[in-house]
Amino acid sequence: MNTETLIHDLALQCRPVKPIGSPIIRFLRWASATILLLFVGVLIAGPKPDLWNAISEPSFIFPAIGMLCLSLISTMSAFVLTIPDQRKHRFNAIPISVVFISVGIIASISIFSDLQGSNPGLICILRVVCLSVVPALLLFYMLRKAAPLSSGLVGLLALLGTLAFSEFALQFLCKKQFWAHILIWHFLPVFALAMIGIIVGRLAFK
Amino acid sequence: MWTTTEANKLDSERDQRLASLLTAAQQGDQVAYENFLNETTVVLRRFLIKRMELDMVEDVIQETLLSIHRFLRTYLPGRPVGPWLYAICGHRMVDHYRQKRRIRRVEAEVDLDDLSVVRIGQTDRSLDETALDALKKLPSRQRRIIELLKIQGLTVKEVSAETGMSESSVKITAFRGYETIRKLFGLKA
Repeated sequence: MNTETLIHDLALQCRPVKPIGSPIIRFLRWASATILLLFVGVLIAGPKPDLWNAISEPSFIFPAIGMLCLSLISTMSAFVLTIPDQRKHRFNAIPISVVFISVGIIASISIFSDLQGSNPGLICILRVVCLSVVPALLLFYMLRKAAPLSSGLVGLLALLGTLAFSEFALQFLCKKQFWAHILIWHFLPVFALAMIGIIVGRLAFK
Repeated sequence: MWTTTEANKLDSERDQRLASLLTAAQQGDQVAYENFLNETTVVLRRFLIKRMELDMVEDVIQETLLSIHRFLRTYLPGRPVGPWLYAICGHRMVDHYRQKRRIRRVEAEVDLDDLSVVRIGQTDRSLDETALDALKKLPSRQRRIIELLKIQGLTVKEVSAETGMSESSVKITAFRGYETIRKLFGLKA
Protein backbone atom coordinates (compact mmCIF):
# COMPACT_ATOMS: atom_id res chain seq x y z
CA MET A 1 0.00 0.00 0.00
CA ASN A 2 1.42 3.39 -0.87
CA THR A 3 1.38 6.32 1.51
CA GLU A 4 -1.23 8.34 -0.42
CA THR A 5 -3.70 5.44 -0.32
CA LEU A 6 -3.01 4.92 3.36
CA ILE A 7 -3.67 8.59 4.11
CA HIS A 8 -6.93 8.46 2.17
CA ASP A 9 -8.02 5.29 4.00
CA LEU A 10 -7.14 6.75 7.39
CA ALA A 11 -8.99 9.97 6.59
CA LEU A 12 -12.12 7.96 5.73
CA GLN A 13 -11.90 6.29 9.14
CA CYS A 14 -11.70 9.63 10.95
CA ARG A 15 -14.34 9.87 13.69
CA PRO A 16 -14.74 12.45 16.46
CA VAL A 17 -12.56 11.62 19.44
CA LYS A 18 -12.49 13.20 22.86
CA PRO A 19 -8.96 14.38 23.64
CA ILE A 20 -7.55 12.53 26.58
CA GLY A 21 -7.40 14.50 29.83
CA SER A 22 -4.24 16.07 31.16
CA PRO A 23 -1.83 13.63 32.85
CA ILE A 24 -2.27 15.42 36.18
CA ILE A 25 -6.05 15.05 36.16
CA ARG A 26 -5.79 11.36 35.21
CA PHE A 27 -3.14 10.83 37.87
CA LEU A 28 -5.34 12.47 40.52
CA ARG A 29 -8.26 10.26 39.52
CA TRP A 30 -6.11 7.15 39.88
CA ALA A 31 -4.60 8.34 43.16
CA SER A 32 -8.05 9.06 44.66
CA ALA A 33 -9.36 5.65 43.66
CA THR A 34 -6.21 3.97 44.98
CA ILE A 35 -6.35 5.75 48.34
CA LEU A 36 -9.92 4.58 48.71
CA LEU A 37 -9.05 1.01 47.69
CA LEU A 38 -6.07 0.85 50.02
CA PHE A 39 -8.07 2.34 52.87
CA VAL A 40 -10.65 -0.42 52.42
CA GLY A 41 -7.82 -2.98 52.10
CA VAL A 42 -6.25 -1.82 55.38
CA LEU A 43 -9.62 -1.90 57.14
CA ILE A 44 -10.30 -5.42 55.91
CA ALA A 45 -6.85 -6.70 56.89
CA GLY A 46 -7.02 -4.88 60.22
CA PRO A 47 -4.58 -2.08 61.13
CA LYS A 48 -1.90 -2.85 63.68
CA PRO A 49 -3.05 -2.45 67.28
CA ASP A 50 -0.49 0.17 68.34
CA LEU A 51 -1.02 2.32 65.23
CA TRP A 52 -1.44 5.65 67.02
CA ASN A 53 1.83 5.22 68.90
CA ALA A 54 3.64 3.79 65.89
CA ILE A 55 2.92 6.64 63.48
CA SER A 56 5.05 9.03 65.51
CA GLU A 57 8.12 6.76 65.26
CA PRO A 58 10.85 7.59 62.71
CA SER A 59 10.80 3.95 61.57
CA PHE A 60 7.22 4.56 60.47
CA ILE A 61 7.40 8.11 59.20
CA PHE A 62 10.49 7.90 56.98
CA PRO A 63 9.67 4.67 55.11
CA ALA A 64 6.05 5.77 54.72
CA ILE A 65 6.93 9.18 53.33
CA GLY A 66 9.69 7.72 51.16
CA MET A 67 7.42 5.13 49.59
CA LEU A 68 4.55 7.56 49.16
CA CYS A 69 6.82 10.03 47.36
CA LEU A 70 8.29 7.28 45.19
CA SER A 71 4.81 6.08 44.32
CA LEU A 72 3.53 9.52 43.39
CA ILE A 73 6.59 10.37 41.30
CA SER A 74 6.60 7.03 39.49
CA THR A 75 2.90 7.03 38.72
CA MET A 76 2.92 10.65 37.63
CA SER A 77 5.88 9.90 35.35
CA ALA A 78 3.98 6.97 33.85
CA PHE A 79 1.00 9.20 33.09
CA VAL A 80 3.20 11.93 31.61
CA LEU A 81 5.02 9.41 29.43
CA THR A 82 1.79 8.24 27.85
CA ILE A 83 1.36 11.62 26.19
CA PRO A 84 3.81 11.67 23.27
CA ASP A 85 6.10 14.61 23.78
CA GLN A 86 9.79 14.36 23.15
CA ARG A 87 10.61 17.11 25.63
CA LYS A 88 9.92 14.98 28.69
CA HIS A 89 12.97 12.74 28.67
CA ARG A 90 14.43 14.19 31.86
CA PHE A 91 11.28 13.35 33.75
CA ASN A 92 11.96 9.61 33.26
CA ALA A 93 15.20 9.77 35.15
CA ILE A 94 13.67 10.71 38.51
CA PRO A 95 12.04 7.43 39.59
CA ILE A 96 14.80 5.33 38.05
CA SER A 97 17.34 7.31 40.08
CA VAL A 98 15.24 6.81 43.20
CA VAL A 99 15.27 3.05 42.62
CA PHE A 100 19.01 2.92 42.15
CA ILE A 101 19.63 5.09 45.20
CA SER A 102 17.27 3.00 47.30
CA VAL A 103 18.88 -0.26 46.18
CA GLY A 104 22.26 1.29 46.96
CA ILE A 105 21.11 2.22 50.47
CA ILE A 106 19.73 -1.27 51.06
CA ALA A 107 22.92 -2.87 49.77
CA SER A 108 25.17 -0.70 51.93
CA ILE A 109 23.03 -1.26 55.02
CA SER A 110 23.10 -5.00 54.30
CA ILE A 111 26.89 -4.92 54.14
CA PHE A 112 27.54 -2.77 57.20
CA SER A 113 24.67 -3.78 59.49
CA ASP A 114 23.53 -6.92 61.15
CA LEU A 115 20.32 -7.83 59.44
CA GLN A 116 19.95 -11.16 61.22
CA GLY A 117 17.07 -9.78 63.19
CA SER A 118 15.03 -8.76 60.17
CA ASN A 119 12.40 -11.44 60.95
CA PRO A 120 10.96 -13.30 58.00
CA GLY A 121 8.09 -11.41 56.48
CA LEU A 122 6.67 -13.41 53.59
CA ILE A 123 3.23 -12.32 54.68
CA CYS A 124 4.31 -8.70 54.06
CA ILE A 125 5.21 -9.52 50.45
CA LEU A 126 1.90 -11.28 50.01
CA ARG A 127 0.02 -8.32 51.46
CA VAL A 128 1.80 -5.84 49.17
CA VAL A 129 0.94 -7.97 46.16
CA CYS A 130 -2.71 -8.36 47.20
CA LEU A 131 -3.12 -4.66 47.93
CA SER A 132 -1.55 -3.81 44.55
CA VAL A 133 -3.71 -5.96 42.28
CA VAL A 134 -6.74 -3.72 41.79
CA PRO A 135 -4.86 -0.37 41.70
CA ALA A 136 -2.40 -1.87 39.21
CA LEU A 137 -5.16 -3.16 36.95
CA LEU A 138 -6.84 0.24 37.09
CA LEU A 139 -3.58 2.03 36.34
CA PHE A 140 -2.66 -0.19 33.40
CA TYR A 141 -6.17 0.25 32.01
CA MET A 142 -5.90 4.04 32.26
CA LEU A 143 -2.41 4.11 30.73
CA ARG A 144 -3.43 1.82 27.90
CA LYS A 145 -6.08 4.33 26.83
CA ALA A 146 -3.33 6.87 26.11
CA ALA A 147 -0.13 6.29 24.12
CA PRO A 148 2.42 4.31 26.13
CA LEU A 149 5.11 4.37 23.44
CA SER A 150 7.93 3.34 25.80
CA SER A 151 5.95 0.33 26.91
CA GLY A 152 8.60 -1.30 29.12
CA LEU A 153 9.46 1.90 30.97
CA VAL A 154 5.82 2.87 31.47
CA GLY A 155 5.09 -0.64 32.75
CA LEU A 156 8.01 -0.46 35.18
CA LEU A 157 6.98 2.95 36.51
CA ALA A 158 3.34 1.94 36.80
CA LEU A 159 4.06 -1.22 38.76
CA LEU A 160 6.67 0.50 40.91
CA GLY A 161 4.19 3.27 41.71
CA THR A 162 1.44 0.83 42.61
CA LEU A 163 3.67 -1.43 44.71
CA ALA A 164 5.18 1.55 46.53
CA PHE A 165 1.70 2.87 47.30
CA SER A 166 0.73 -0.55 48.66
CA GLU A 167 3.89 -0.64 50.74
CA PHE A 168 2.83 2.69 52.21
CA ALA A 169 -0.47 1.07 53.17
CA LEU A 170 1.39 -1.95 54.53
CA GLN A 171 3.04 0.32 57.10
CA PHE A 172 -0.36 0.56 58.75
CA LEU A 173 -0.68 -3.21 58.94
CA CYS A 174 2.76 -4.61 59.71
CA LYS A 175 3.57 -5.04 63.39
CA LYS A 176 7.31 -5.49 62.77
CA GLN A 177 8.28 -1.85 62.72
CA PHE A 178 12.06 -1.92 62.63
CA TRP A 179 14.52 -0.91 59.95
CA ALA A 180 15.99 -4.26 59.02
CA HIS A 181 12.56 -5.80 58.47
CA ILE A 182 11.26 -2.84 56.50
CA LEU A 183 14.32 -2.77 54.26
CA ILE A 184 14.51 -6.48 53.56
CA TRP A 185 10.85 -7.49 53.53
CA HIS A 186 9.14 -4.31 52.36
CA PHE A 187 11.45 -2.24 50.19
CA LEU A 188 13.43 -4.93 48.44
CA PRO A 189 10.39 -6.95 47.27
CA VAL A 190 8.78 -3.76 45.97
CA PHE A 191 11.82 -3.01 43.80
CA ALA A 192 12.23 -6.61 42.71
CA LEU A 193 8.56 -7.06 41.81
CA ALA A 194 8.50 -3.73 40.00
CA MET A 195 10.92 -5.20 37.43
CA ILE A 196 8.12 -7.49 36.27
CA GLY A 197 6.45 -4.29 35.11
CA ILE A 198 8.83 -4.13 32.15
CA ILE A 199 7.46 -7.40 30.79
CA VAL A 200 3.88 -6.63 31.76
CA GLY A 201 4.18 -3.23 30.10
CA ARG A 202 5.50 -4.70 26.88
CA LEU A 203 2.62 -7.16 26.78
CA ALA A 204 -0.11 -4.80 27.94
CA PHE A 205 0.87 -1.84 25.78
CA LYS A 206 1.67 -3.71 22.57
CA MET B 1 18.65 9.95 17.29
CA TRP B 2 16.31 12.89 17.41
CA THR B 3 16.92 15.60 19.94
CA THR B 4 14.87 18.08 21.90
CA THR B 5 15.74 20.80 19.42
CA GLU B 6 13.86 18.94 16.69
CA ALA B 7 10.68 20.41 18.15
CA ASN B 8 11.81 23.79 16.87
CA LYS B 9 12.13 22.51 13.34
CA LEU B 10 8.43 22.99 12.84
CA ASP B 11 8.17 26.72 12.40
CA SER B 12 5.44 28.29 14.48
CA GLU B 13 3.24 29.06 11.49
CA ARG B 14 3.30 25.46 10.30
CA ASP B 15 2.85 24.18 13.85
CA GLN B 16 -0.23 26.35 14.32
CA ARG B 17 -1.67 25.24 10.99
CA LEU B 18 -1.08 21.58 11.86
CA ALA B 19 -2.53 22.15 15.34
CA SER B 20 -5.74 23.60 13.94
CA LEU B 21 -6.03 20.76 11.39
CA LEU B 22 -5.42 18.18 14.11
CA THR B 23 -7.97 19.76 16.43
CA ALA B 24 -10.51 19.71 13.59
CA ALA B 25 -9.60 16.06 12.92
CA GLN B 26 -10.32 15.23 16.56
CA GLN B 27 -13.81 16.60 15.93
CA GLY B 28 -14.24 14.21 13.02
CA ASP B 29 -13.38 16.51 10.09
CA GLN B 30 -12.12 14.07 7.45
CA VAL B 31 -10.86 16.74 5.04
CA ALA B 32 -8.84 18.45 7.76
CA TYR B 33 -7.47 15.08 8.81
CA GLU B 34 -6.40 14.20 5.27
CA ASN B 35 -4.72 17.60 4.93
CA PHE B 36 -3.02 17.11 8.26
CA LEU B 37 -1.71 13.68 7.28
CA ASN B 38 -0.50 14.95 3.89
CA GLU B 39 1.39 17.84 5.41
CA THR B 40 2.72 15.63 8.19
CA THR B 41 4.06 13.21 5.59
CA VAL B 42 6.10 15.99 4.05
CA VAL B 43 7.47 16.96 7.46
CA LEU B 44 8.26 13.37 8.40
CA ARG B 45 9.91 12.59 5.09
CA ARG B 46 12.25 15.53 5.51
CA PHE B 47 12.98 14.47 9.09
CA LEU B 48 13.61 10.82 8.28
CA ILE B 49 15.64 11.18 5.10
CA LYS B 50 18.46 12.70 7.14
CA ARG B 51 18.42 9.85 9.62
CA MET B 52 17.64 6.61 7.83
CA GLU B 53 18.41 4.57 4.77
CA LEU B 54 16.10 5.70 1.99
CA ASP B 55 14.40 2.33 1.57
CA MET B 56 13.20 2.45 5.17
CA VAL B 57 11.76 5.95 5.08
CA GLU B 58 8.35 5.13 3.54
CA ASP B 59 7.86 2.20 5.94
CA VAL B 60 8.51 4.42 8.96
CA ILE B 61 6.28 7.18 7.59
CA GLN B 62 3.43 4.71 7.18
CA GLU B 63 3.98 3.24 10.63
CA THR B 64 4.01 6.76 12.08
CA LEU B 65 0.78 7.65 10.28
CA LEU B 66 -0.88 4.53 11.66
CA SER B 67 0.32 5.46 15.16
CA ILE B 68 -0.95 9.01 14.73
CA HIS B 69 -4.33 7.56 13.81
CA ARG B 70 -4.27 5.25 16.83
CA PHE B 71 -3.13 7.94 19.26
CA LEU B 72 -5.21 10.80 17.83
CA ARG B 73 -6.92 11.42 21.16
CA THR B 74 -3.59 11.90 22.95
CA TYR B 75 -2.91 15.23 21.26
CA LEU B 76 -3.88 17.89 23.78
CA PRO B 77 -5.43 20.87 21.96
CA GLY B 78 -3.47 24.06 22.42
CA ARG B 79 -0.13 22.28 22.75
CA PRO B 80 2.48 22.42 19.95
CA VAL B 81 2.20 19.60 17.42
CA GLY B 82 5.95 19.25 16.75
CA PRO B 83 7.02 17.51 19.97
CA TRP B 84 3.98 15.20 19.79
CA LEU B 85 4.68 14.30 16.17
CA TYR B 86 8.42 13.80 16.56
CA ALA B 87 7.97 11.72 19.70
CA ILE B 88 5.71 9.29 17.83
CA CYS B 89 7.96 9.27 14.79
CA GLY B 90 11.10 8.79 16.89
CA HIS B 91 9.64 5.74 18.61
CA ARG B 92 8.48 4.24 15.33
CA MET B 93 11.97 4.82 13.92
CA VAL B 94 13.58 3.00 16.83
CA ASP B 95 11.03 0.18 16.59
CA HIS B 96 11.74 -0.13 12.89
CA TYR B 97 15.49 -0.44 13.50
CA ARG B 98 14.89 -3.07 16.18
CA GLN B 99 12.62 -5.01 13.86
CA LYS B 100 15.16 -4.83 11.05
CA ARG B 101 17.89 -6.07 13.33
CA ARG B 102 15.67 -8.97 14.42
CA ILE B 103 14.85 -9.86 10.84
CA ARG B 104 18.51 -9.80 9.85
CA ARG B 105 19.24 -12.21 12.69
CA VAL B 106 16.35 -14.42 11.62
CA GLU B 107 17.46 -14.42 8.01
CA ALA B 108 20.97 -15.32 9.05
CA GLU B 109 19.65 -18.32 10.95
CA VAL B 110 17.03 -19.51 8.53
CA ASP B 111 17.05 -19.54 4.77
CA LEU B 112 13.50 -18.57 4.00
CA ASP B 113 13.59 -20.29 0.61
CA ASP B 114 14.59 -23.61 2.05
CA LEU B 115 12.85 -25.76 4.60
CA SER B 116 15.98 -27.87 4.95
CA VAL B 117 16.09 -26.87 8.61
CA VAL B 118 13.56 -29.60 9.24
CA ARG B 119 15.11 -32.20 6.98
CA ILE B 120 17.97 -33.26 9.17
CA GLY B 121 17.63 -36.96 9.93
CA GLN B 122 14.55 -37.45 7.76
CA THR B 123 14.19 -39.52 4.64
CA ASP B 124 12.62 -37.70 1.68
CA ARG B 125 9.61 -40.03 1.64
CA SER B 126 8.67 -39.58 5.27
CA LEU B 127 9.52 -35.91 5.17
CA ASP B 128 6.36 -34.73 3.44
CA GLU B 129 4.03 -36.56 5.81
CA THR B 130 5.99 -35.58 8.89
CA ALA B 131 6.30 -31.98 7.79
CA LEU B 132 2.59 -31.78 7.03
CA ASP B 133 1.77 -33.28 10.42
CA ALA B 134 4.01 -30.73 12.06
CA LEU B 135 2.39 -27.98 10.02
CA LYS B 136 -1.05 -28.97 11.32
CA LYS B 137 0.12 -28.47 14.88
CA LEU B 138 1.11 -24.84 14.27
CA PRO B 139 -1.07 -21.88 15.29
CA SER B 140 -3.36 -20.93 12.41
CA ARG B 141 -1.50 -17.73 11.49
CA GLN B 142 1.93 -19.41 11.32
CA ARG B 143 0.44 -22.36 9.43
CA ARG B 144 -1.18 -20.11 6.85
CA ILE B 145 2.02 -18.14 6.26
CA ILE B 146 4.14 -21.27 5.85
CA GLU B 147 1.54 -22.86 3.57
CA LEU B 148 1.53 -19.78 1.36
CA LEU B 149 5.32 -19.64 1.30
CA LYS B 150 6.16 -23.32 1.00
CA ILE B 151 3.16 -25.08 -0.51
CA GLN B 152 1.78 -22.40 -2.79
CA GLY B 153 5.29 -21.07 -3.43
CA LEU B 154 4.47 -17.39 -3.03
CA THR B 155 7.19 -14.88 -2.31
CA VAL B 156 7.29 -12.93 0.95
CA LYS B 157 6.03 -9.88 -0.91
CA GLU B 158 3.09 -11.80 -2.37
CA VAL B 159 2.23 -13.30 1.02
CA SER B 160 2.34 -9.82 2.46
CA ALA B 161 -0.13 -8.59 -0.15
CA GLU B 162 -2.34 -11.66 0.30
CA THR B 163 -2.55 -11.44 4.09
CA GLY B 164 -2.32 -7.69 4.56
CA MET B 165 0.64 -8.19 6.91
CA SER B 166 3.89 -6.30 6.44
CA GLU B 167 6.79 -8.18 4.86
CA SER B 168 8.64 -8.02 8.16
CA SER B 169 5.71 -9.58 10.00
CA VAL B 170 5.50 -12.35 7.40
CA LYS B 171 9.17 -13.17 7.89
CA ILE B 172 8.89 -13.11 11.68
CA THR B 173 5.74 -15.27 11.68
CA ALA B 174 7.40 -17.75 9.30
CA PHE B 175 10.48 -17.85 11.49
CA ARG B 176 8.39 -18.58 14.57
CA GLY B 177 6.63 -21.33 12.65
CA TYR B 178 9.99 -22.83 11.64
CA GLU B 179 11.13 -22.69 15.25
CA THR B 180 8.02 -24.56 16.38
CA ILE B 181 8.57 -27.16 13.64
CA ARG B 182 12.16 -27.56 14.73
CA LYS B 183 11.01 -28.22 18.28
CA LEU B 184 8.44 -30.73 17.05
CA PHE B 185 11.25 -32.52 15.21
CA GLY B 186 13.29 -32.51 18.37
CA LEU B 187 15.88 -30.15 16.94
CA LYS B 188 17.51 -27.31 18.77
CA ALA B 189 15.62 -24.06 18.13
